[in-house]
Amino acid sequence: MSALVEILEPGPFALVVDAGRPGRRGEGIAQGGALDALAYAVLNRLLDNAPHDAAIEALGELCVRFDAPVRLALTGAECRAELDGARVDAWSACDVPPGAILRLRAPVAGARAYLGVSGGFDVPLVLGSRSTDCSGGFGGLEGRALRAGDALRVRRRVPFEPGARRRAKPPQWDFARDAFAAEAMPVRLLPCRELASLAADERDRLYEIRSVSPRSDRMGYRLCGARIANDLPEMRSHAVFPGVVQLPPSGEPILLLADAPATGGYPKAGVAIAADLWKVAQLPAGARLRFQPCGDEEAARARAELAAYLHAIS
Amino acid sequence: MSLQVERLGESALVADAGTPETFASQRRMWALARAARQLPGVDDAVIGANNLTLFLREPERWRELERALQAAWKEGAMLETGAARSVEIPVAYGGESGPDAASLARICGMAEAELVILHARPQYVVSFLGFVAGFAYLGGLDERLHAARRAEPRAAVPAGSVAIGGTYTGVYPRSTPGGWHLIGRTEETLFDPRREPPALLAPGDRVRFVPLT
Repeated sequence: MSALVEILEPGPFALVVDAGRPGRRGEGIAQGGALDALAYAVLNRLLDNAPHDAAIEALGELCVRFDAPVRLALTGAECRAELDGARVDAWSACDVPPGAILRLRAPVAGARAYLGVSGGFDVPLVLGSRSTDCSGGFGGLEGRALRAGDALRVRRRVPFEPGARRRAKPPQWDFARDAFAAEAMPVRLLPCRELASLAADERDRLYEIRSVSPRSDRMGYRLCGARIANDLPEMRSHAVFPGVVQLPPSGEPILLLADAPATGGYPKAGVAIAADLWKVAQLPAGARLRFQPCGDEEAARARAELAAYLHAIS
Repeated sequence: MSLQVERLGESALVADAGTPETFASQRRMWALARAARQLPGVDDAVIGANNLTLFLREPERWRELERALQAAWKEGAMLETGAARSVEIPVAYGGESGPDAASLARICGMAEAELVILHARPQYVVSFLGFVAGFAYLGGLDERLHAARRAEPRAAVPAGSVAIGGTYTGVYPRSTPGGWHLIGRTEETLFDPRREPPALLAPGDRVRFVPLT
């Protein structure tokens, strides 16, 4: 018999995620999956899970009860988690006794917390993934965000070892505080061709400090700040994907994230490098970021650094 | 018709045939997508309006893929586009089912009945999919019905709404925000995640709207 995890409080927004559905964009299906793919990858490594085992992504203030012993792990935003009143560190895994209650508070650093269990959460595989596709209304638990009273089954039971604990070194984590300080979080951007057709001073505005609009979601972040006027024509529809920075007529750039639609029509400024997208996912509304132009070599170096960091956790 | 190929970001390769977008050029794009999916190291191929984006597993080998794409493009009409299906979609036009039918008819300078006739007459072709899962952009809309999107997009368009946006017509697979003019509604299921393939329509498929009387 497998364990059940009951959602007592989901917080502002919590959903079941995994590595998403890349490879089905041609059918209009969003990639989806964990917004902070790095925290999600570390989570499954801490639990000796398969790389695509399902977890919960929450904006903090999540409260769950375990009806049987399980091994859990937490990564991502620092939410001062407590297990039956005792502090649990983020970026660690531990065993919990039956009946235990885990409570996350509002994030003090970062925006998104990941809760995983050994074996992952048991929701049906839909189109190759367990991720919730909220705009498509499928995947995850009944294609929707989690609600109080939901119960998720755990796919694997492990022997309970009280005191067992495992930690991972968090990735460079100071950004969350940096992002609120005078200096904004740097996000490296590979510029694209349309950018060259912008007037020079409009182009420069792209690299000014911007803040994450409250009208942001898993599809993308709207970035407030100096408006970028563009008289570029609406493009013929083309593929878009996480990392693409669009220039809508409003002048506020949009940085697309995991739930981005498969196609779009706005002109593009560039593509944020994959190795920086996890940091973006951890920026709450109001936090600041700044694009920095970069080239292929730097993008490749950043990718390799991230791979080495992940490899060291095992 | 030449094909421009350029990289976008770290792992995407965009092939663009420029303008104008014609049935012949789009047909060649479907064939190119089919060929591209067979190339080694291509994780996904997404068709747009006269363009195609490939997602590469080994982006550093993009030059090889560019050569393969150019070769496939030159073969052009020789390529197989795959088996196109013909799909009939029954539509309740106007009234509560199509709240913008009357206003769009006014914009187009015709009676609502004429709008319905003009919309139900052509055999449409699925140009590409996008926006939300299973949303097909249908080409072949009568020029008299081409219309800019609504100034104020709706926060929620009912599922099954048959709509016109720009030079395209399409059906909203489920309730989403949307800026197209809603002229009718269908009970047909455009996207079912339990089905394989989940989308009712694929690029190249032929679609005819049948007015319910």
